Amino acid sequence: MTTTEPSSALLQVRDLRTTFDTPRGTVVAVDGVSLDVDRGETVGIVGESGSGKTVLSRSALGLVTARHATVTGSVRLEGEELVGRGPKEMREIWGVRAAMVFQDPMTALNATMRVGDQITESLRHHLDMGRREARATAVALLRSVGIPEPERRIRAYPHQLSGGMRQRVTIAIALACGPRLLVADEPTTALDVTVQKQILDLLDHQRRERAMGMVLITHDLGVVAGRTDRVAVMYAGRIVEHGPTRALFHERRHHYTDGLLRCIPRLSNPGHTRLQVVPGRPPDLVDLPPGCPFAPRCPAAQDRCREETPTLTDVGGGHQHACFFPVGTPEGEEALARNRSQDGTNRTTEVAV
Amino acid sequence: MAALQPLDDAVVADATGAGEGAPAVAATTAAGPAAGARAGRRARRRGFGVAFWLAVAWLVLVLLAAVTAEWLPLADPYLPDVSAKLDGPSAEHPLGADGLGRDQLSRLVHGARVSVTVSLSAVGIGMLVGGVLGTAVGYLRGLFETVVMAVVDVMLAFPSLVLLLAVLAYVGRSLTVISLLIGVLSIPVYTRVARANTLAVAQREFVLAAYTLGATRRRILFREIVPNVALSVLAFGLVAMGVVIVLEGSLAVLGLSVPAPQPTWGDMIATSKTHLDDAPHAALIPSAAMFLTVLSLNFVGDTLRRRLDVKDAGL
Repeated sequence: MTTTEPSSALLQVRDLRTTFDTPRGTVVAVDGVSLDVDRGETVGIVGESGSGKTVLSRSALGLVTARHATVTGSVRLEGEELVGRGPKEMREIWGVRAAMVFQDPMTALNATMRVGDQITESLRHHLDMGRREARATAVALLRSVGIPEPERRIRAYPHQLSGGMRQRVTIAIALACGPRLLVADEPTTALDVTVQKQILDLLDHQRRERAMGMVLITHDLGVVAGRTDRVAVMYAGRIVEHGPTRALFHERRHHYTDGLLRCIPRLSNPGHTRLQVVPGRPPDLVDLPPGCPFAPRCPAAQDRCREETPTLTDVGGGHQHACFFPVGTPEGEEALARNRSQDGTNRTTEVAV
Repeated sequence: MAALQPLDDAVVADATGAGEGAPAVAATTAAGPAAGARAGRRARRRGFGVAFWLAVAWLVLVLLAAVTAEWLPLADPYLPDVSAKLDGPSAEHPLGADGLGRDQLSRLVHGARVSVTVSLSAVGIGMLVGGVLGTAVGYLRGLFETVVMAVVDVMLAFPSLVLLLAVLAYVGRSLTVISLLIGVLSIPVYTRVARANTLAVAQREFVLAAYTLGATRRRILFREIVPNVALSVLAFGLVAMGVVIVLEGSLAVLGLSVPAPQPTWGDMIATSKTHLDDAPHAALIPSAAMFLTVLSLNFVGDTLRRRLDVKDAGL
C-alpha cells in the first residue's frame, strides 16, 4: 500500500473517507480522496458548497471528532500517520506542524482577549517561551503579516481591527509556531475584493519564505488560478479532476470543471449575456445512486455514466480526471453531440434519471 | 513579484507608495494613530447617555444608603411619633410618617439594606452556582448534561412561591433564609442561560481555532468560553436583581418577608396600603423607590448587555 512508495510528500492523504451517521442515513462527505502536498507547494481544493472541501481538510488534520463521524484511510504528515490519533496526540501536531486559517476572521478571534495574548499563548505553550520573548516574537509576527505599528496593535482587541487586519492576525496566530503545513479554509471569502488580494499575497509570501506546504480551499476559481501549483476539483466528496493548475485550466477534462470555468463571466462578453450556470444542484450525499455523481447534471452523460463510477485516470503530466467522456476528446464531443440531438425529445426523462 | 504589502486596511488610500518590507510601515501609518485615537475618544464621549448615568447614580445612592444607614443622621426607624401619624412631608419628617408615626425617610434608608442584601446575595448565589453548572454542562455535554438539565427542568416546573412559603413557614423567616432560598430557586434559570450561551460560544470558530493550535480542553474552557459566557450571565444577573427586589416585596405583602419591625420596602408598602385613601404618600414613596430601583437595574443591565455583547460589538 502506501508504505511501498517512498514519497517525500509533506502531507500524504490516501483513500481518506469520512462518513457521518445521521438519522436519515450515512452521509459520505469525503469518499476515498488521495492527495499529496509537497513542501513549499500550494494545492488548491475547489468545489461547490457541500462538495466536501472543508470536511476533507478537517478530517486530514484530525478535527472531525463528532461522535457520529468515522474517518478511515491514511493521512501522513512528514511520514507520520495521523488517522486514529486521539486529540491528546494531535495536540503535538496542531499549531506546531500543521495550522489552519479560517474563513471568517470575525469569528475566528476571541473577542475577550487582546490580539497579542492570542498570539503569545501558543508560543509560550508550544515553544516554552518566556513572557518577554513571546511578546517580542508576537510583535515580529504581526509586523511580518503587514500590520502597521505592531507594538501598539498587540494591545488591541479584535473589534478594534478591520476585517482584513483581523485576517492578518489569524494568519499570524497560525504561523506563530512555524507550522510546516498551512491549511487555509476559504481565507478570503468573508473579505472584500481589494483586501482578498492582499491576504492571498500575504499567504503566498509567507508560504515561500517559510517553505511551507499550503492547502488553499476555495470555491473561487479566480483565487486558485494564479496562486496554486496544483488544483483538485471536488464533487460529492470525491476528487473528479486533479492536476497542475495550468494544465487543469487549459485542458480541463471533466465536465464539472468545464462547467465551473464557464460560469465565470468574461469582460469580453457582450452586454446582457446570460450568465452560464451548472444546472441542477449537488447530490444528496445520503445513499448516492450508483454511477458518476455528476451524471444527473452533466451535459455529456451517457447510460454508462449512470451505471459505473469512473475512477481517476492519469492522462499524463500528473493530470487526472474521473470521466468516461472527457471534455475535448473525440468520445466526449460525440457524447455531447448525441445528448444535444436528443435534447427536446428526451430532456425531461433524462433529468428525472 | 507579489510583495508583502503592509497595508493598514483602514488607510489603504494613504498607502499607495507601500513597497516591500518594514520601512514602508512608518510611512503608511502616519495618519493611523491620530485618526484611531480620535475615533476612540469620540466613542468614549458618545458614551452611555444621561439616562444610563442617572440610573447608575440612583443605584449607587441606594447602595450607599444601605451600607451607611446606621451612621446617617436619621430618626430612629423604630420609634413611633404618634403626633406625626400619617403626616405628609415636614421639616421633622422629610418624607412624612407611616401609620405608627415612624419616620418614612429613615425606614426607607434602612429598608434599602434588606433589598440590597437580598438581591445581591440571591443573585450572587444563583449566578455563581448556576453559571458554573451551566457552563460545565454546556461544555462537557454527555450524561452529566442530561441529568443536570433534567433536575433544572423539574426545579423550573415547581411553583417557586409555594416552595418559598413552605420553607419559610417551616424554617422561620430571616434575611439569611430568604436570601438563600431565592438564590437557590434562581439557580436553574442561570444554568439555562449559561448553558445556552456556552453551546453557542463553543460552536464559534475561535474555539476551533484555539483547538487547532493545540489548546487543551481546560484552557479552551477558561480562556475562550468562560469570558464570553460570563458577560451574558452578568448582564442577565443585573436584570434578575430587579426581579428579586420585587419578589421580596411580594413576600412582604404576604407577611413572609423579614419579620417586623425591621423595615423593608415591601413591608412599608404592605402596611401602608390600608391608608391609600387618606395618606397615599405612605405607600407611594416606598413604591416609587422600588420602582426606580428596578427600572434602573433593568436599564443598566440592558445597556451593558448591548454594549458588551460580542456579537453586537461587531464581532
